[in-house]
Amino acid sequence: MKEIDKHIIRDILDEMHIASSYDEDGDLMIVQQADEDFVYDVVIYILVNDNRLSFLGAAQGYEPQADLLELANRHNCRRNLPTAVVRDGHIRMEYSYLLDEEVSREYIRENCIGMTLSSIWHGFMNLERDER
Amino acid sequence: MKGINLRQVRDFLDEMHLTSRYDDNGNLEVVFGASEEFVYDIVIIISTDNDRLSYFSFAPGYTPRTADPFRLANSHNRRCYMPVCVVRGEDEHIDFEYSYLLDEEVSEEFVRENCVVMPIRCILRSFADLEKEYQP
Repeated sequence: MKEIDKHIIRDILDEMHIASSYDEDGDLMIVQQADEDFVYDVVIYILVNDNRLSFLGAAQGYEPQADLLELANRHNCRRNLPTAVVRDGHIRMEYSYLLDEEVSREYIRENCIGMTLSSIWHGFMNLERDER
Repeated sequence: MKGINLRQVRDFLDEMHLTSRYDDNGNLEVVFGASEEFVYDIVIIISTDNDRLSYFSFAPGYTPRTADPFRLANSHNRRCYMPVCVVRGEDEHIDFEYSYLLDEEVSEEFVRENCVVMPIRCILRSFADLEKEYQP
């Protein structure tokens, strides 16, 4: 595959049995429900622009009890993805893939979608934990 | 292609006419000399492990002067999706890092253009722009 659009991405989400919807801007959105490991819903917007596949994750109501810039940096030092950034006083987990050259559908499904969605959830869950 | 190793990466570096060597840890090292745009050398270490291709870069002697390094790093990470800017060490120096998991089938062009050429260009650009493009 050398071209992607949001419909292709949604087809792959459906294959993976991941519920998705379109927001008011027409972007794909999924919600990872709070559980006992992380008690806030994580909303992930999935954008496709010019063959760039982007994930923007936010945890609604989550307010870490430490300096946000230092928390984000600690996360970024520990993990390959996603990238933690501070925007408007909140932590966001973000990641993008440029897919303008030929890649397999399996690469998009497993490495770009599956791995990123999972890592965003774990990024929030472990942000304030002192592992390693 | 599926999977990646340093010999393949070095072939791409050779196509780009970049000088590289193996360091003591068996990783590839590429050094870019200081320029007018950025007056410190930039060292890029390239490693592969379990089909993950990783870039780690630093500029020896470079310490940001215009702003707190954590704010600079966050400003970069808000602005650019790659490479990731991190602050490491007691001296709070700046590194740029990025990696690609290549354990599924992708084309050679994808690896060359998106996983080798682009990250190297972006690392060089990122050091040069870090303080210029800072937005508090």
